[in-house]
Amino acid sequence: KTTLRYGHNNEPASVAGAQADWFAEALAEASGGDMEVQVFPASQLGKLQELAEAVSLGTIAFSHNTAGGIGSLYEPFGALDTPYLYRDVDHLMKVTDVSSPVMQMLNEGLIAAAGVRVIYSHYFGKRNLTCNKEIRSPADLAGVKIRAVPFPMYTTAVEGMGAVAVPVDWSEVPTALATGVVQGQENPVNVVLNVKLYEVQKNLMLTGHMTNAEMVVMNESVWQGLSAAQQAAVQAAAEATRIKATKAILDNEEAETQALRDLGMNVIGAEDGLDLEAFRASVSTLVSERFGERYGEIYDMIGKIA
Amino acid sequence: MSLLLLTLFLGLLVLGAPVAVALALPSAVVIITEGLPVSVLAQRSLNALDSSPLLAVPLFILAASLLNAMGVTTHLFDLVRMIFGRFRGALAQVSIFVSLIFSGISGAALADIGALGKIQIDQMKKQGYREDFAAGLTVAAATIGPIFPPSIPIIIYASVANVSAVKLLLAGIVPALLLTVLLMVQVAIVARVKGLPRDTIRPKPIDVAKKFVVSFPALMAPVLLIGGLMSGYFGPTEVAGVTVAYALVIGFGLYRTLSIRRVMLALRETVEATANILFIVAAAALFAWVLTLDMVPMKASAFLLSLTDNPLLLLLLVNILLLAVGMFLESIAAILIVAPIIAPALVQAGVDPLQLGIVFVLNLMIGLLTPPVGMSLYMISIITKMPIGTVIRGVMPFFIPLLVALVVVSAVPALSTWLPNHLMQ
Amino acid sequence: MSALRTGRAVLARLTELGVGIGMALLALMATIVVVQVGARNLLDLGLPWADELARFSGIGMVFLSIPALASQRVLVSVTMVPDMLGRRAQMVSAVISDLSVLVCAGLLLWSFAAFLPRAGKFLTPALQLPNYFYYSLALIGTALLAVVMAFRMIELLTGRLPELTDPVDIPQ
Ligand code: NA
Ligand code: NA
Repeated sequence: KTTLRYGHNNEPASVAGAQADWFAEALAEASGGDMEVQVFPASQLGKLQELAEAVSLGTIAFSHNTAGGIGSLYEPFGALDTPYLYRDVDHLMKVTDVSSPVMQMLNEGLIAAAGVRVIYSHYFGKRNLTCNKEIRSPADLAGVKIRAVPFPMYTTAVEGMGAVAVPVDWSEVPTALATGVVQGQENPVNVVLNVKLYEVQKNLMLTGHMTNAEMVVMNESVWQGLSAAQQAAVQAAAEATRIKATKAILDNEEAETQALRDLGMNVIGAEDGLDLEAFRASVSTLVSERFGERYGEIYDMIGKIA
Repeated sequence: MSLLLLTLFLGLLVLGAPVAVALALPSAVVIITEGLPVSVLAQRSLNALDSSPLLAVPLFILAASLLNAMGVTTHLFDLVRMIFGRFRGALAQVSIFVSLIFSGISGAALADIGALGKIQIDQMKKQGYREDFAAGLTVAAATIGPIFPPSIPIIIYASVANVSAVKLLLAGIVPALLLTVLLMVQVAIVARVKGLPRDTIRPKPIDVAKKFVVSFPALMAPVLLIGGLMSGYFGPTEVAGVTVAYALVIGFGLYRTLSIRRVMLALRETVEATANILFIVAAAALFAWVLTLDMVPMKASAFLLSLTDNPLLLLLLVNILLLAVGMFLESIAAILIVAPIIAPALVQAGVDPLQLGIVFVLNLMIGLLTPPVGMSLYMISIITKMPIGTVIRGVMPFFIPLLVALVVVSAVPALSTWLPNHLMQ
Repeated sequence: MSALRTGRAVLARLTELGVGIGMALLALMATIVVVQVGARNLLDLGLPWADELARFSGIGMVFLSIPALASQRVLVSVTMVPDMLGRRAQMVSAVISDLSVLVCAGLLLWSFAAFLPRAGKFLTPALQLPNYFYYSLALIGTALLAVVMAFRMIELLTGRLPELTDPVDIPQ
């Protein structure tokens, strides 16, 4: 019997956290009890970035991360977190399918550079902006401080939308929003709901400026050490969990937005005058300025995937 | 493997190895003998230190060290003495109150003892207080320091338990005031029963006014700090940095008592103190990692929750556990090892994370006064050259107000939660 | 014997240099944090790199200062039991303590040797610095710690008994 460790940073109750447990169950079943996955949620074994490294070092077998996070192991992965890159969730799922040409290429590079392979990725959500102030166009964000994940791509998204990108440690985000260190932040709606950001933020703008996939990664030597049957079991469990998690997030997204409305947030979408085209144009300009050269080829490949 | 880990840890600790090494070496041994990748030693310990909230630790130590170097401690002590006047036990009350004011600058009990201990005890002895009473009072009053913001243990707790450091720092204010009042009540009773001496000071109003003016910039430091935390101009680490800048400005610009040499000394003191504390933080992270891999936190939490799911009873159990832990473990190491093990289960059972943090820290600060491992006891005994036994005898009576404070803070969540929640909405 | 004396002097210089660089890093950290506050509130600049640079300084400060603390035997320890047992026990405790620090530093170096060849080229999120650079000061500090403690053991074997100092206070 093979026991493998899966460490991640999410709460077990969130979909991103629960899907690790689903994967563990699915793998136990697909392998007929031959493979067991021990899940360590909530950063028990280390912080987000550290966990990605830990998979590379072989300390743990599995973890998950955003494409941007995996980009610190193999830089080109960062391209997959580019704002306004995908036409829709379906497009994202096709691009991030491990058998797509883009993912095959990136995965080869990741295996060579870090000894890590992506085994599946699921839809994690569309990132939206929340702010104390009503925002309808990039001009409304001039001089407004928005908390940004301190990765160049994420900072670019916030700056591209017209705001000042400010790094704030995740543990301080609710407090920083309450005291006004920053006036807003950006995250998928499930995060806004689970972390109770509606208590400290009035407006939710459905900017959908990033469509994120969460990538589940595995240590390559562990993968190579598996028998053909075990590898097949991993693939089967991966496919099942990918579909289940994506569906769960999609199903929840609408309900969560409604829940935020019911909790008193002012939700502003395109029909309420949110100028999505202006955001897309302004962000894309900054993205091609900063990343166009570096990621141009990958963007072309992604654009060609139907 | 956890049994081997704990045995080796206690063995090294008793033999007198540095706490950090007593934590790291057994972890390394277990990692190697279990065939885990040896790279985790470097990775985990480095990543534990690679944390923004922890940057507040050196910055707060530096700020306190600078303020102390410019001589504000003496001014504060004199000012409070003049205001309190000449009633029975006045100087003892002054000592407690100065500890409260100084706690608004300093983030560590041992720093408070270092800055205030000598002058408090010398003055009290001069006026005829018993030396064990003076020493006991000083170390007991120093527990106020790390409860009132700023606070090194609170910042460290917040960083491991994933609570907002700002909120948890603010949560300490009311409990620190409560602790101050309880200590003062105790001293008032002792003054009655045992007849403590009166102060001899006879200040003219003009002297008081002068002292106030000269102390004012130092009195403003805590105001700046708490105001800064609430205003949104700074985050918690930034508040520490701004306090450093403020100390430099008043030290060079107003008091003119700072010199480059004194700043260098403060930097050196800070670097040494920080390296000492954060070395323990790094090693404890590794230790906790091994425990986690062995599922100890999960089993311990399940066990706790199987006993009761009543938040109040759980807190009571935690208090008993922590008082025992606090006797034997150095306080920072205790926070780092125990908090990740039991905090998630308690929060899940409905204990407020802010209240839990304050109960945790208060408890372990009381642990600084309990033998065999009581760093405050060691410290005061070094400063005053008093035998540990004398200090312990002097501390005994002060466990009454300290434990009363602990019980009240455990029983009434609002004492910790009201202020931060009120200010943050 | 004079080789030992030279060695001792060189190591004392190096550990002192470590603390000196630590002090500079602390000053840098304080400056970065204050600049960050000013830039955000006065100039509307977020400086995403500032926090990472401050953390880099913090890690370096800690690891570069540990060798000095270890060589002066002022790392926090609980010496109650050896103290109760008298001078001989204190001596034995000091030797065990030094030895444990040496073994710990050696294992940490081994760990670096396993960690950095794999993870050294990975990039930090904000500044995109390779870990080789980000953790370089920690590696140097650990190596110095190992050398200092190894030298201590050599001295011991050549008959120089540990000098005992009072336990030293640290803020907590
Ligand atoms: Na304090
Ligand atoms: Na104790």
